[in-house]
Amino acid sequence: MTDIAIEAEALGRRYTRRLPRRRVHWALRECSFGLPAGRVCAVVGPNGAGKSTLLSLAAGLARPTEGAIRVLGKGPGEVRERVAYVAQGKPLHAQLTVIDTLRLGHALNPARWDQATAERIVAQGDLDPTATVRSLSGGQRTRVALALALGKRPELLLLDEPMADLDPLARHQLMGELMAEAAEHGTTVVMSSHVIAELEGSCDHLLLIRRGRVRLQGGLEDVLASHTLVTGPAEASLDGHTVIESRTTGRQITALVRPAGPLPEVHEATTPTLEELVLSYLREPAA
Amino acid sequence: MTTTLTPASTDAPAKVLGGIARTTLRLHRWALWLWTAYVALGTGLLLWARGPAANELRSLLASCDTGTTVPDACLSRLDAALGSYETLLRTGSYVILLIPFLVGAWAAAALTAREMETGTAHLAWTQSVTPARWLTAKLALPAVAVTAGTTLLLALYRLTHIEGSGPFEAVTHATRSPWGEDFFTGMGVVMVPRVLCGVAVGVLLGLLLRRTLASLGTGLLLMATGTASFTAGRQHLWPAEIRYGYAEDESSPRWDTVNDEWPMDSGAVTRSGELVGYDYGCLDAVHPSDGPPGDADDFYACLRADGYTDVWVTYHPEDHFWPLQLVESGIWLAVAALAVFLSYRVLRRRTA
Repeated sequence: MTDIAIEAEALGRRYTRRLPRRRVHWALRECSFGLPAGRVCAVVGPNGAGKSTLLSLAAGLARPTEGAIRVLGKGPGEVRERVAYVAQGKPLHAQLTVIDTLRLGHALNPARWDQATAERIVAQGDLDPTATVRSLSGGQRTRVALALALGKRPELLLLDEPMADLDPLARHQLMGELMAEAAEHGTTVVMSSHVIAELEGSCDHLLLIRRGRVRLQGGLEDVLASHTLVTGPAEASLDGHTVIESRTTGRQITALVRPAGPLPEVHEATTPTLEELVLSYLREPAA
Repeated sequence: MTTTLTPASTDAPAKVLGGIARTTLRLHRWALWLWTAYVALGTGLLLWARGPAANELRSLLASCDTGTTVPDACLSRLDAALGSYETLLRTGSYVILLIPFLVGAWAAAALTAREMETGTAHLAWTQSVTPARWLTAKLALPAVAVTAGTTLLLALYRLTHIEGSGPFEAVTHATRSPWGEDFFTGMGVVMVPRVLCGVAVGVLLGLLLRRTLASLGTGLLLMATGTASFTAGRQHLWPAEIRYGYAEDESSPRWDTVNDEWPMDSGAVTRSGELVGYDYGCLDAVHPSDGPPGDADDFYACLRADGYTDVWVTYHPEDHFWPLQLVESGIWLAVAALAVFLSYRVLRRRTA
């Protein structure tokens, strides 16, 4: 049993487009991180940052171009049984009914399948189990996709933008069910998102990716505690501290800093919220 | 922190194999039904030709054959019976000829391309099955289904044809060449490798192109190109025989091929022993449209006057049927094997 669910070392993934013109694009580059097991980890970053690439590498759907990734202590291809993955588009077979979709989950995961859990997730959604997937709404599809993933009783659950197409109420409800299932079975959840609201209160580990590189990682509390949101006169110096982002309004400056020591007295200092922290990192000018 | 770990049962691999087979069948249930209906249609046509249509033809042949002149009424009924028998048989051969295109197009569109396009392939690969096993199911199950159906139709066609070729030869197949596409594919084995190749190439295209329509179009195009190439050039798959000399006693006074031989090329031999093309001028000289025909000596005299010593013809004798069948089958199978190998390779390189 390892305490690290996903470990990446100088991980890189390059995509090459051949037509109409050859274009090489690094979706991920030199990413090194370790995501602890038993936690709910948020992978955040703007669109196109490399979140989906990272999750599909962890799910064994793609091979790294360089570096290495280890999932539950092994190569991603060796732990297929123990990992569940829900892709961004929630791909399901449109012609199957909900019942048939769960049956498919059972047939493909005979050693682990937990029909009761899968049925419970579906039942909580108030949807007709004999309806075809084609006829479901986006939110209902998400629910079926999650039921399929959780029915596998994964040790690690990889979710790519799981709640993106849900209304706030459905998002709140499904997130609650998801967190309850994860807590009950000690499942590690790694979830990518650009909706910070859906992470607040549920995740306890943060991995921030921007332009294919890891900008920030760590336990949520540690990360928040190591940053300070300061407000003060524009002319006051923040030299010696790492300024992540600053904005000047008139003669006032608001900045997110990583203090290297005591801050100048002239500044008013507060602990940032998760949203303020993430937004500052996302707005931070490219180095 | 606890992690629930369901102990993997010992028969898990077998269960997974059964599971992926069941899932594949479930996902392509409609295709399987359609294929069954298609085979049933072909079977029906051929059984009808072999049963009712052949029986009627047989009884009419017997009743009309009175030894003397055949009554007109009998002749027209015989014509009608013959027409329906031949139509049934021909339609049966079309049903067989269409299989590779239908199967190729379906395999290219539905087996892998659609799953790649909609992302359901990723769904399958993140369950407890490896992508390689998923691919095996995608290849093996359709291969079994199309081989079974095609073999059944071929066996029926062959049986019907052989049964009919004896009694009806005089009225039906006297002018029919065994080298025509319908006879060659219907009476031989090439159709099975051809259909298998359609499945394998379709699966590969789906993996490479990842788009349903693009894959379908390309698959259809490749199958059409392959089939057309063999139709146009299969005579080169086995060395043709050569025969020299002018045979006078044939019904058609040429040095050309007879009956079920497949003519390739013909010409004359020069004094230096070279084989060259020839315009058949001496045939007209020896067989004038008016007046009595000459004999072989006249023919050779005419040839010598033109500067030639003999005539030649290249052809495939009837017993080249099976070598040609086997070489063509081998090529289709080799392409299929290559496509299968590349499919596994593509998948292995792409996924972990």
